[in-house]
Amino acid sequence: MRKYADLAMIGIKEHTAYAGSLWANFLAKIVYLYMQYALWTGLFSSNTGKNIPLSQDETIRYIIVATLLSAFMECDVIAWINGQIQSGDVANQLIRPLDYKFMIFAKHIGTSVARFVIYTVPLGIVISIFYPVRLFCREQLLYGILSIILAYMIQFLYSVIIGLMAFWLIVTWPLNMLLAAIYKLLSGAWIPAAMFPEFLTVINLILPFRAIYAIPVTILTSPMSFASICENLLVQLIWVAVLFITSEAVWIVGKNKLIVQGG
Amino acid sequence: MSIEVNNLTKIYRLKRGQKKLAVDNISFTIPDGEIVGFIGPNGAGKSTTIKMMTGILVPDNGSVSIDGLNFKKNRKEIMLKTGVVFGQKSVLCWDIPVIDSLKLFRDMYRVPKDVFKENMDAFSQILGLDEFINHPPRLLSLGQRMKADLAASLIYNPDILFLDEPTIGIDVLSKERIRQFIKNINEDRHTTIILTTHDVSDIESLCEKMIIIDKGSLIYDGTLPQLKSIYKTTDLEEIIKKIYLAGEQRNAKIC
Amino acid sequence: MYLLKMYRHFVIIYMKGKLAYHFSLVFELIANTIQIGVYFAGFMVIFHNFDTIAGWSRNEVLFMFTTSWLTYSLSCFFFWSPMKDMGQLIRSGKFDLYLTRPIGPMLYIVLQQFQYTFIPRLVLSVFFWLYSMRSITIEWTAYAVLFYAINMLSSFVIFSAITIFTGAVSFWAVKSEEITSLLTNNNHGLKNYTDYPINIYGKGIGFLLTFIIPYAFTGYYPVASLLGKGLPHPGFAYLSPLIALISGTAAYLLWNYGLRHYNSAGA
Repeated sequence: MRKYADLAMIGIKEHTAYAGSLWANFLAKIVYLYMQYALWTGLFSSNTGKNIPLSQDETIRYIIVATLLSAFMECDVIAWINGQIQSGDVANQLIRPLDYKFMIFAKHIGTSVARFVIYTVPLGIVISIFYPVRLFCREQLLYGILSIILAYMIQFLYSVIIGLMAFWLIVTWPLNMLLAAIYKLLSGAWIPAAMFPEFLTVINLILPFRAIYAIPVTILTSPMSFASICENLLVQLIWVAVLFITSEAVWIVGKNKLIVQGG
Repeated sequence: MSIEVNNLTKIYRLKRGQKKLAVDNISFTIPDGEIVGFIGPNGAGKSTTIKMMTGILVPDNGSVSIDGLNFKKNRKEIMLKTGVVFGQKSVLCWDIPVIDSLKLFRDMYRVPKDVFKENMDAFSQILGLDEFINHPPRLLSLGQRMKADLAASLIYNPDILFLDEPTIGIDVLSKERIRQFIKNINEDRHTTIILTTHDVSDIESLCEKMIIIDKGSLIYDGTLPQLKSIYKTTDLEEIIKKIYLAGEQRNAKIC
Repeated sequence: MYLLKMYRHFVIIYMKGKLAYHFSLVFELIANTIQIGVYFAGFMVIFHNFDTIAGWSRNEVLFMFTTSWLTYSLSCFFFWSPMKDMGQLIRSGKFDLYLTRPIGPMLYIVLQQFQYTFIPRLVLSVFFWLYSMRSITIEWTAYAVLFYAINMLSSFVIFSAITIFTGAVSFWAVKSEEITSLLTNNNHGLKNYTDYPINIYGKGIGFLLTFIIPYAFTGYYPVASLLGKGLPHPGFAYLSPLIALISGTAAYLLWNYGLRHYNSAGA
């Protein structure tokens, strides 16, 4: 178990190596957040009376919480695995006495912890100074946290699946770019999923993306019925199961393909 | 083309107000058509001096004059007559056939078509360009790439050629051919050649003159036979080691 | 003439080099197309719920930022890649090689390439530009067309100047990639702000985008003027050429100053 903890530490250290870029990243998030705030405020103020799925308050709370979440949930696993394969380092990693996927997970947790401390907490402080509003639905907070944990796992599993596909696709970055764009929209990290037009909502039902941001953020910021919350958590659980099984399958297939190619 | 270097000085300003005297008041003249070996231990100020001679760096004091021209007023003119080959970085475009890079240089340096053809024929013969001229550099062996680099840098008949580590990592046969090529170029076209290298056999086979730089100062400027007679040995490697060692000891005494 | 001949050489060389990896090229273009497409999709999704923003209709906003994106894509086609690589070129010593050529280094690095990955952005911008133009009310008099054309030209200069600025900073060995990304990145930076009418932001941002990094002149001010939107300073709509002149000159001077510094101080 110790070795996984070490890996988590490495994850933290790697992320904090360049102080300059940390500052720039932090500023970038503030720049983004302000833009979203101004955009939605502007939209709502010009359109009073129209039937909009979320109220202005809910929307602003949504995008703030979504940004806070994405600050630490950002996942570099795909890029990392790709880099490993390009550099050939993957061979070294595979002969170690560790479970490859768990090793990546350990590192990812480390990075997420670092991100939480470096970005989410300061971001939260800045927000509480400039926009001191109650962000969360107190009663739903616990469910929200559970939802975040599930979302975290879903995102990780999804990334691992795509990343492991590099074992035989070799180059997946165009695939990543493609998916990243779609992911950004459909996960609800950018625009609240409640605002989607009908056909997009339907498409989203069969994809795991909304389980990563839309579900947890909505549970945290919008009052929901208990039944609704349970339904959403169930959806997440199903996705965790589906993706976990898929990841195991991809791993088995990928491992063989990699060995055949000589590493 | 001759190169005249007078009281050349270069000071690097490092962080926290520190200054490093990289080149300290160096003067020498390289006559037209000579092959000069330019050597010194790592960090001696060699590359700084070369950079000033190729116009990449501006000296803090002193001057570089190439056939009476200087970089401030006649930069373009000098560039058109200067060739540069770096051992580690290729001058060619990496992904496209060598021949395309050669044609680019032909036009960039305004080489007349007949001169281009003449050079191509000559180089092909000696360097065996035909073997790889239609391949991109990334598919070539190090020896082939160096030959291609040489061809590209000489296709426009420069009067001066700067060679930085041209034989590094290259097999002995290719080394021999490259050295022969350089010698021929110097004999046929009277090209002034400045050769920077750590390879002692390069110097032995090519250089008439030697300039040795250490800790930013000029240690030796003279012919190879003269150097050997001063140290009373024909083992060039021994001589160089002695000189470098003396430099280290001098430094140790000062510190 | 000489430069055109050089450019023809460089273009053919560049394309030959890229086509050697044609598979990856196609993928890059597809990926970029989808990325930009999703941005437009998101924009449409937002306006699926709202009719206007700060008095601008959806198509008016679309017209405004595609105007800006058109010139941005064109500018980046030439300047984005070499300026982005300046830090790397200098650190690796490759830039020194360019200094020994009879063509000035700026010309050399610009002629050598063109960033084809901006073609999807250009194409999609043209599409939505035409689409939005049909439903907005601008009286296209000869004067209006001229006004618009001059602004497009000015925008090109302004964007190029900003890009050159970010490259020139590398002469001082400043690892500026992150801060410049903040200011110029077209996905997560200050530049995004100008995709919407800047009067939705506070005065500070408005000032920043007008006088410090003049993105607002590339789309907002000229189009606002053409659409008859009330501007607090109506005169701003006519300032673009002046801003282009100032920023272009500043970029030129900074580049040369940086080059001289590099020649003097080394890497």
